[in-house]
Amino acid sequence: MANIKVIDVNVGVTAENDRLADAIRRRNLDNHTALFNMMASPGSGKTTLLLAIAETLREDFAIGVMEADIEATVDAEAMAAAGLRTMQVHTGGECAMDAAMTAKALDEFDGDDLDIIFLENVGNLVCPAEQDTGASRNVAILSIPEGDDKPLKYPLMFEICDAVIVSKIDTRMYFDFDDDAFRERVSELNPDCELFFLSAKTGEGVDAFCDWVKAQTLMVKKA
Amino acid sequence: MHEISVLKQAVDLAEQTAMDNGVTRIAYITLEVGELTGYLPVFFHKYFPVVTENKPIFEGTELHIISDAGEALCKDCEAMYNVMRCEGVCPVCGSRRKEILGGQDFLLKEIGICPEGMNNE
Ligand SMILES: Nc1nc2c(ncn2[C@@H]2O[C@H](COP(=O)(O)OP(=O)(O)OP(=O)(O)O)[C@@H](O)[C@H]2O)c(=O)[nH]1
Ligand SMILES: [Mg+2]
Ligand SMILES: [Zn+2]
Repeated sequence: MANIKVIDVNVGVTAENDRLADAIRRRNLDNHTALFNMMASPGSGKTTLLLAIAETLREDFAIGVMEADIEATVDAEAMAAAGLRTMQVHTGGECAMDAAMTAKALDEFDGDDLDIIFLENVGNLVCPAEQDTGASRNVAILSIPEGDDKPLKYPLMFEICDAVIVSKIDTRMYFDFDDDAFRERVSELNPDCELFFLSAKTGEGVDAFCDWVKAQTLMVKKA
Repeated sequence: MHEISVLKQAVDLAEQTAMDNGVTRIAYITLEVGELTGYLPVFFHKYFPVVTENKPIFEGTELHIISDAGEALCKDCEAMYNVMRCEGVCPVCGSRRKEILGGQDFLLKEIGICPEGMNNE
């Protein structure tokens, strides 16, 4: 083995994914389409929230939803039943969407005419944060029952987000979620991140998030 | 479980780089795994045979892993400490405010090639 030759590579393994992700962002800018990557644990309320804001957003924008799951089509069916243009992406066992899967899904979705596309990523606080999907904006949703310590346990998710939503605030009385502690933990990791507290069930706080989505969409469209 | 998709990306990158260099057989690849990535080397070793299956260029290839420590500089007292061992809290002053100095990357460091694994063009 003495005469083994060595190629010095020294390249980040995600470099190829990052290049593809940047290409997706450029393409979406050209199409004036804002792609929102919605990341959260299973059951944190992604689908319910998307249904709640779609109602308002569709007054001004053409919206589509891409549902990424390892299996099943129930979320896509719920979206379609609400009259939204939707598509189910099966990740084939992968625990998150990556840029290649997103590019392929966007091609199949044929959504160049849309103003907003929501990508409901696989339910998981770890892997989706590791793969840049090429989204224009990254959003993490954490529900009250999950606890205010999650930024300590899953820091990367909170570092890479443009907005963090605390959902299901109507369930506050049953849990000991500490808003201030949570706010501080998020701002330590990511000082520029927007924070929203809302309930998709009662509607409290939903408008503020909706306004943020509108503002970000207009920013992408004007860029 | 989340190791498998990034390992696939590492293997694809190694395969592409090797082919670009006219390599037909890889002796070993070295990955540098940052401690703060949350990837566990034991799973890389476990999945490597699965991910390289049916790729002749990886026949007999060894996987080498070097670890990169997750060091941080405290923003309040400037102490240096290991993020994992101290659970993200400065052992000197108790602050969580820090600048991460390393341990967040996942790199393909090098590819080792046997001489008989080169194309002579
Ligand atoms: N109390 C309360 N329940 C909610 C709220 N939002 C969602 N839920 C409930 O939480 C459960 C999960 O909601 P979903 O919207 O399906 O969550 P999801 O994140 O899309 O779930 P997966 O796609 O399966 O990961 C459902 O029973 C919802 O009715 C809320 O604001 N308050
Ligand atoms: Mg859902
Ligand atoms: Zn300190």
